[in-house]
Amino acid sequence: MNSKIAGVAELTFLRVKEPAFSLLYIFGMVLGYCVSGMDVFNFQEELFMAQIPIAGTEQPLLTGFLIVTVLSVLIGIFTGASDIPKDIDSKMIMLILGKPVSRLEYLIGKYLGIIAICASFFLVSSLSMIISHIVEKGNIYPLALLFRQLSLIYAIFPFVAITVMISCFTSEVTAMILSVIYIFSCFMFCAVPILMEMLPESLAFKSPIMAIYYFFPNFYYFMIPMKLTGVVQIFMILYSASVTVIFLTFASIRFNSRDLI
Amino acid sequence: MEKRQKKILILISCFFFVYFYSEAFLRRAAVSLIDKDKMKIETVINKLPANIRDGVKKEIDYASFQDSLMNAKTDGERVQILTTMAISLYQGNEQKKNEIFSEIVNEHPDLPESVQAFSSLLLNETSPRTVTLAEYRKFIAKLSPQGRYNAWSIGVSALKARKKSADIQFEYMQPLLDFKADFKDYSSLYEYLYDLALNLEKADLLPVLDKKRKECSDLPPIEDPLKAKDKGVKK
Repeated sequence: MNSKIAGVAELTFLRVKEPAFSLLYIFGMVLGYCVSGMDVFNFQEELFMAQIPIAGTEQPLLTGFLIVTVLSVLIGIFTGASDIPKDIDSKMIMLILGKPVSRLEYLIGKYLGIIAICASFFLVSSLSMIISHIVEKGNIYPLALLFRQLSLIYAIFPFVAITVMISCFTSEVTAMILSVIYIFSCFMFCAVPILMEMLPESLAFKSPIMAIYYFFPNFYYFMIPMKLTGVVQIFMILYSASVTVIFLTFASIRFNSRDLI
Repeated sequence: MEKRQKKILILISCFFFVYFYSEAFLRRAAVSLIDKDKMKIETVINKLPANIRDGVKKEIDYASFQDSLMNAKTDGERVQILTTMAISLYQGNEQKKNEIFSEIVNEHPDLPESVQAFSSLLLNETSPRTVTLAEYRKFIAKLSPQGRYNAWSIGVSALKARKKSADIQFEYMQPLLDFKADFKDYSSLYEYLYDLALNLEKADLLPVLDKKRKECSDLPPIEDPLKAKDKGVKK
């Protein structure tokens, strides 16, 4: 990796030294212990989504890991939305960009730093869950099942990219609010493609709805059944990567043309 | 265009392609897992707010018919779908219903599947396109023996529903006087014609109609096409 990008990423990740983040990690470990005994994830019967299969029977998603993923995304939203606007407000950005660091390198570095914070929270909490499971049940999760749970981390990458992109356009608080609204909309839209498949081809409002849907990455796709070495796994990675790059490209276009003073 | 802008454009296009391609793949994977017997669109529609539910339902029904029309292989299938569409989708919309039936009558006057459209427009004064008695008789003449009986019955029911006078109903059924019935089921038609003749004081026709009705009792009944199929299988 480019050393300048790594430098910015490290600088961002060093925020975990703040007492608030230490508390967050402790919370993550306690949470991991508390949710380790939770059963396989299942939607409530009365919901429409209850009828959509999640993760399959071979490697089901465990509720605990799903809670940890959602919390990691939330941490991503709050850190991602505040980091760049805070640097601009405190003029820290001028200090960094005054060195031979381009705006793109700064942006990618920031993104990777935030990802590192989220991923570390995810991994610390997951590790706590795994250890708690070993202590309580006396055995380790089967490897395939464990890998399925850890693959939920793919969902974090696009959502952090979305937040970073929004933060390049607005101020700190607005970015947080918009990110929450946007990501909530993503959850709302996740059943759209499945619904559309059930509707007749000639339906007039099908195309406009699908066109709108494409603006919202689908979180549900990260929960569909897959094998460790299956083709779904590859496409899941491609999906996560493409959404991430698209949002980061928009962020970069905006960030390059933005007045930072 | 600057070199850098070009690069960004190419990069973004590539990733958009990957995004759409992977999304389509994952969508297929997700959809393939759904149990279509368990998961019905009606369940979702019923959960919509009442003020938009009916509109959405109608749109979906209309699109389903359009899909079926596109997939129809023969004109007969097409006419059947159009008929069902007119009856179920435009239940309270006489104008639209008549428009569809007129299209069927004008374009497919030789198809047995057009019987519903012909009967619906038979002396129907609310429609700009009306089917006359002569037209209806001409249509009946083209049908198979079973279809013919069906058309006679549907026609008389339509006239009754439209509260046409006994005179008109008698005029409609008059060709049955010179008709050689094929099935036992015609006895009910002759019975009705007998009643009409009685009402219209056509005493000279009563013995003829009575004879016709009695002749019908010796004829075989119209066989249910499904039962006939079953019999064929058993054989």
